[in-house]
Amino acid sequence: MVHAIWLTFRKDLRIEARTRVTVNHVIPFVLAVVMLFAFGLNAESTLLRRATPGLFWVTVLFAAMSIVQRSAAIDRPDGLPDALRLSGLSPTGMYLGKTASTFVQLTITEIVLAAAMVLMYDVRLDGVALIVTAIPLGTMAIAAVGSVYGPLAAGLGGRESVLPLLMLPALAPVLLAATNAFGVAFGTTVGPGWRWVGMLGMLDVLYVAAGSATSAALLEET
Amino acid sequence: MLASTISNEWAYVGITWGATAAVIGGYAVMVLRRGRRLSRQVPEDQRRWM
Amino acid sequence: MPNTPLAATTDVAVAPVSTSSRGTRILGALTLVSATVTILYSFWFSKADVELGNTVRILYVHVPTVSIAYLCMLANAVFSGIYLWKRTAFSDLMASATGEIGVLLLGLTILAGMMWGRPTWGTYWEWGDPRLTSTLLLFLMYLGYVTVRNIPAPRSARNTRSAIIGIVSALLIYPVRMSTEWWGSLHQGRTISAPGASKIQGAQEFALYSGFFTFMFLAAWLVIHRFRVGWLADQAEAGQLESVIAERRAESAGDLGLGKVH
Repeated sequence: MVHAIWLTFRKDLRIEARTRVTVNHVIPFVLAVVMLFAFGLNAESTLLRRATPGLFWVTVLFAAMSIVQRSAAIDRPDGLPDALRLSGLSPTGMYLGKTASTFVQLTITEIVLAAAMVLMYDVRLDGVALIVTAIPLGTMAIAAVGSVYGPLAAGLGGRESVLPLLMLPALAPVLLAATNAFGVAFGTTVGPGWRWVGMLGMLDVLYVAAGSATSAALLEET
Repeated sequence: MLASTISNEWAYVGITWGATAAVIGGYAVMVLRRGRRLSRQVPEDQRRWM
Repeated sequence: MPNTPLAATTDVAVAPVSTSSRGTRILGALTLVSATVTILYSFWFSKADVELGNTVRILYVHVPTVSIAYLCMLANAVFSGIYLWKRTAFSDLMASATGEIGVLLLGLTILAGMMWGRPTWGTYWEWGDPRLTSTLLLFLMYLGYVTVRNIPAPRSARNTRSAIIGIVSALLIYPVRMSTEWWGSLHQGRTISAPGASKIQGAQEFALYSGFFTFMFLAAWLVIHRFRVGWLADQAEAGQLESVIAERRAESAGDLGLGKVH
């Protein structure tokens, strides 16, 4: 299984390294969103600062749609699904590998996004430890759901646009937990920030378990 | 709304009960009709699951 | 091709031209009787609440719909799980029927919640209320289930996909509730809440229980009909496929004009 994880992970990232879809499409997209929020909220710096935790994670969710869609689409060309089925690799391993590669691409996007927001929204960071823990946990949850629903939607032949309807409600608890953890770290909300981080961890376990359990069925039918 | 609090309350009660009855009734009619239409398309020995 | 139009009138036959049977007729009658009792107790025999006034009558719909909706989602999860394990048409069709009816009831729950919120809280929507927020989230999740389920696809692929969504969604019911509760406690919305079961007594309590039974019978009645419609739809599709294949076969065999008469 470790072999399957590693192979899938490396394959996905190698394709990304050659085609640079995340770097060329998704990163400029998140920068555009940073600008749009400033326009939409009338460049009010206090408002932007207060809303940054939520804006950050909402932007990440939108960026994740593109990354997940792309990550599922690279396995779609003629005969590839059959080849993957016949490869004899562990379905759970392939699922985890895909989750890992999505995780890496999302993390890169988030680093750029966070830098842009800190510089342009005049954000002051109080609890760095909280942020550094919440980011990977939240990202993991998004990647874990994306690696189930992404391939599932990609198999629908022309109806892939259902992906946001599937993913966004399923990720709403992640948005709540991650935004509130960030809010505490930024000093915009009060409350036990680590409790939200704990919830993110719990969601990670749940999503990864669900994805692993259904991976064989998913591979068979997509 | 100009009505007093009491009749105002009744408006919300009415909307709730009315909408519930209408939605469930509409859905039931839709399902029953679809069942009749499809039944005619299916050979007699395949119409029921059991 | 209605080969025997007489079958429509003799519904004792093995396969009537409808989805009803003796079981559904009994359930239907029970639903109607129970609904009449609920309506009488909700409007006639029970008084307005001391605290909530007449809006308490909204709860006689709201509380039963949400409970039965959760029951539907539970059934959906169980049948989705059984489908991935056994791959039977029964479990798939049951999951699909309970999922669809669950969405319907969740939608009605939200509507009733909003209609209750306006006169009691002064607003249709209160984000600090975990019941409303979590119901909205579950409604959207199961709407996704129903949407994917209704996308035309090869049957086994369609079944597996919807079963996966059913299982993932069911696992989220608890976290959704917990996260909206924590979140709601931060916002300290209006504190008036629906009275607990302990505060509702006498005719009010009876109206509520009667409501539970009504929606239980109703949901069972709907699920059976929806199950049969789902079965029929699959059979009809398979029949069409068979006739198309037969046509192709006749064409390739070269006996054009002999084998097929439309």
